[in-house]
Amino acid sequence: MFKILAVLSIVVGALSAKCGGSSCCCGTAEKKPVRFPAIDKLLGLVMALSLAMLALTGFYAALLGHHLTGYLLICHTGCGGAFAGSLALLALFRAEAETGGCKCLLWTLVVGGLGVTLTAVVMMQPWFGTHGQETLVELHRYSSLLAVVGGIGCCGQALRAKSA
Amino acid sequence: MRASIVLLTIGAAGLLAVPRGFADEPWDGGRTVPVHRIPLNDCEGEGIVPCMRSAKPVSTSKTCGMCHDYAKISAGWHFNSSSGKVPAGRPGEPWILVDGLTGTQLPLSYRGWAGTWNPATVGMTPWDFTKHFARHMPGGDTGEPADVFSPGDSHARWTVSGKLEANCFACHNGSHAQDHSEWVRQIGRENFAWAATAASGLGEVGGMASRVKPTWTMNDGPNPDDSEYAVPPYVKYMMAQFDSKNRPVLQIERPPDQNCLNCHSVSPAHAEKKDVDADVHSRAGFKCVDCHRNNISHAIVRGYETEAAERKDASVGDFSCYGCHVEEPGKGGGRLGAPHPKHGGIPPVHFAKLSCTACHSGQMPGATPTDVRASRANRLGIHGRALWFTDAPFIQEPVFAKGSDGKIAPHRVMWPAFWARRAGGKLTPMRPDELEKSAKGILDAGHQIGGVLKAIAQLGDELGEVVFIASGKLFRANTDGEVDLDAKFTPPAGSPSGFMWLKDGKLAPLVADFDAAAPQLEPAVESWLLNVLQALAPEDPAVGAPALARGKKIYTRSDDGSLTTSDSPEARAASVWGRMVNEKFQPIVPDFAVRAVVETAGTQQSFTEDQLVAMLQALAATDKAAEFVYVGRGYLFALGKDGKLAASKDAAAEPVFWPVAHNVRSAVASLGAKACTECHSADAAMLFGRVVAGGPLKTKTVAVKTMVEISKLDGDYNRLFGFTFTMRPLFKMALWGCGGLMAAMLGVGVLGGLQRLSRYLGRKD
Repeated sequence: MFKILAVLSIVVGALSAKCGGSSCCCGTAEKKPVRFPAIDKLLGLVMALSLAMLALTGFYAALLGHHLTGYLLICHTGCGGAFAGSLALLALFRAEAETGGCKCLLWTLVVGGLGVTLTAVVMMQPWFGTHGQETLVELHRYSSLLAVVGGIGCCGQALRAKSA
Repeated sequence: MRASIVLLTIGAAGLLAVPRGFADEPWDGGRTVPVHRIPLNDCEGEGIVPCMRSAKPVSTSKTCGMCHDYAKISAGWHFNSSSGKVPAGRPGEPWILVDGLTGTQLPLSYRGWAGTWNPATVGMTPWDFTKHFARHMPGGDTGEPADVFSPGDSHARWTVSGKLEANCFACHNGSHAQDHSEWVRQIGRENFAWAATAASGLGEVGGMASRVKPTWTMNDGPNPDDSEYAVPPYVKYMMAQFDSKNRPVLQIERPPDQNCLNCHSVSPAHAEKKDVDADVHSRAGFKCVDCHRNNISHAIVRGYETEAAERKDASVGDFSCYGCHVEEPGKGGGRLGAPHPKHGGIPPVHFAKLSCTACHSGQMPGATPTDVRASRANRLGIHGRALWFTDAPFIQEPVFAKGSDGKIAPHRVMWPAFWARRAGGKLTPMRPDELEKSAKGILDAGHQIGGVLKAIAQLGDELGEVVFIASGKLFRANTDGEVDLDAKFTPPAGSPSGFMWLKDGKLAPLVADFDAAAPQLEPAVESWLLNVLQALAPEDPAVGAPALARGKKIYTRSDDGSLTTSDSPEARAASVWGRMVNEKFQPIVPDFAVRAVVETAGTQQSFTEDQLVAMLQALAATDKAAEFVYVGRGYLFALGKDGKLAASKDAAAEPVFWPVAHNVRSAVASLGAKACTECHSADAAMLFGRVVAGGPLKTKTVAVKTMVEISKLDGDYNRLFGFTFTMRPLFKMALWGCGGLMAAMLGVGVLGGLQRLSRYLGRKD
């Protein structure tokens, strides 16, 4: 099930990125200028790269049915920190700047990001037993799908805007 | 028709002739153990009349077997290792052939477990095996050969000793009179058929089968020619236990833990009993057999996770850690009130990679594993005048290694140590009795000094206790005929080496100082000197007459008891005790032996590299065509072409592992319960603890392995991963902060949306 949804989320993300340039979504709406464009760009870049790494490491293990262990795990948790930090700040910087469909994608990304961040940090607390931990892992996985949809969409938007 | 009738008649007669145990009928549902007020039978199935002097010992096959299927029972796990017909199952503790003199600790098993040797490959017959190990066996197995005349084993004495039947009492006797030490004594005397009777407390067994002629049998009765030494075994039943019909009330019950622990105790070496906790299950009131169950087949549940699949019996799975503690729909679990583990905050990957025992069983891991002693290996739990336990073999726990199911589990390890012949790269271990001759004068350094101490001690304790001083250390004789270092006593600086009297903390020479240049010794000195020389006289004159060298004189005792003085080519300032060999004076204990004793004093080791070289040379001299090696401390030692000792790695030198099951610790005392860093840190004992190869050889060439090497884990990764845990609190705080910020932004967004909705709903334009 998760494998199918994972593939679907990538497809939906890619479609939403493509749609971004058309009139159906936010393509016609104008993006408001941000106060610190350099920081905004840097945050976007860090977020995009870390999300890509998270997706690669996480989906690799999940799609092959492995536990996420070893160097992949270290990479995943390290990128997770960068992702959470950059996304939180990005939300702060762009919440007002984005409009229309782009805003939808950003909020999708933030909701997914909040899900993966909270499930990750709660897993590190001694609050849940084995079944709880397994549920948290599932929540973490499915939240990551939302983040992937939002992330790919936002990145696609940004690339299209730049090329335009 | 007639033929059918005949066949039916024969069949019916056959059914009647075979005794059928009613206890093997389906269980009637009653949950009590019936009172066993039953007649006892001997090995011929005859009822025992306890008051008769010629009464024979109890036969379990003919007594218990009247109601219980003895054939089925004696094929059970405790009795079937040598049958070769049962799956080996998960590796367990091997039998370890230990010999202090030759520095042997050789793991043996008929089950073919990794790292063990089949007893037959080292030339051990079922008789030898039983003689060595039946002290901690419940009978049966090798002790019950199909043919007592044992063709091919000329030194077996089954016809004298009788068979060592499966001893039902060893496990099921709830009587306080059940005495494991008595069992061991009877095994030592080769009173195999009598051992169960003596150990159960039903009768008193005297005599020693080991001393009587090989032609004697149980039916021969007492030896009319000897009532002191070669006394055949006999039994005097405890008459108070029998009723008028010659029936005792056997206190048969489900095996009490005490009986299991006679052979299955493991405790830290040198620990005090008061400091050692019992298994958490025992403390909760469980008995061993609550989990380790069996039916009449005695295929006892061993309790490891993969056992149910191996045995193709799902019911067995309920009694593994997981099966009992983790309830799953359709799979049971939670039996016996087993609490469901919380495992709060532990990522599920731990349960895929680690066995339950990794965190919950055995000793807590330290920088190095704990030395432990095990009943069967170290001869524990045998009480009597002598101390039976041995420090060897050196067993360590916990050592983390991957088990047969691929999960990391704590193991006990023992590094093999043995002498072997090597031919074509293949080793054949040598038994201690094969080495005894060559080892004399080389490996018996402690015995050489101990022998002298014992001989002089015959003179009485008027002058104190005779001790040996060397290199500023004091050695006393021990009960094994060797010497022990007295670490508490430091001889005064400048004390000469040699044999001395110790009285009231003061040392004095064996013979008072005298002037060797004087024409005649004082009568008192001469008398005492003669006494010591007489005490030192060997049983075998070929060893050499005892002598004392002092100054330029050598003093010996002539056959008529007078003192003989001869000139010595060497002048000695101090008195030196020795022997005259080929008319030459030689120290009574060679320097070689003294050095070995001093070097190994106070250590776990018993011999040195010098002795190893000498022994390899001695062995080579016995068979010039063969190559001899010694395996120990994780290496294989052999003499190179240059005659020098060379060490190399060899599979035979690798340690033998078996998983730790008990003692189980409570959840709060489990590994990792206090912090993740108990395992995830750059110096975690579970990963980076060092396992140093133990063994009897004192050498600097010792194998050392870390736990990650043994577990086949990536040490660099685990160090890095451990390092990340130093920053984990900060990481968690940062994640909480980021999550909070994202949640706040979402909240603001939601509030903004609500505001817009409110505006829309509130104004028509």
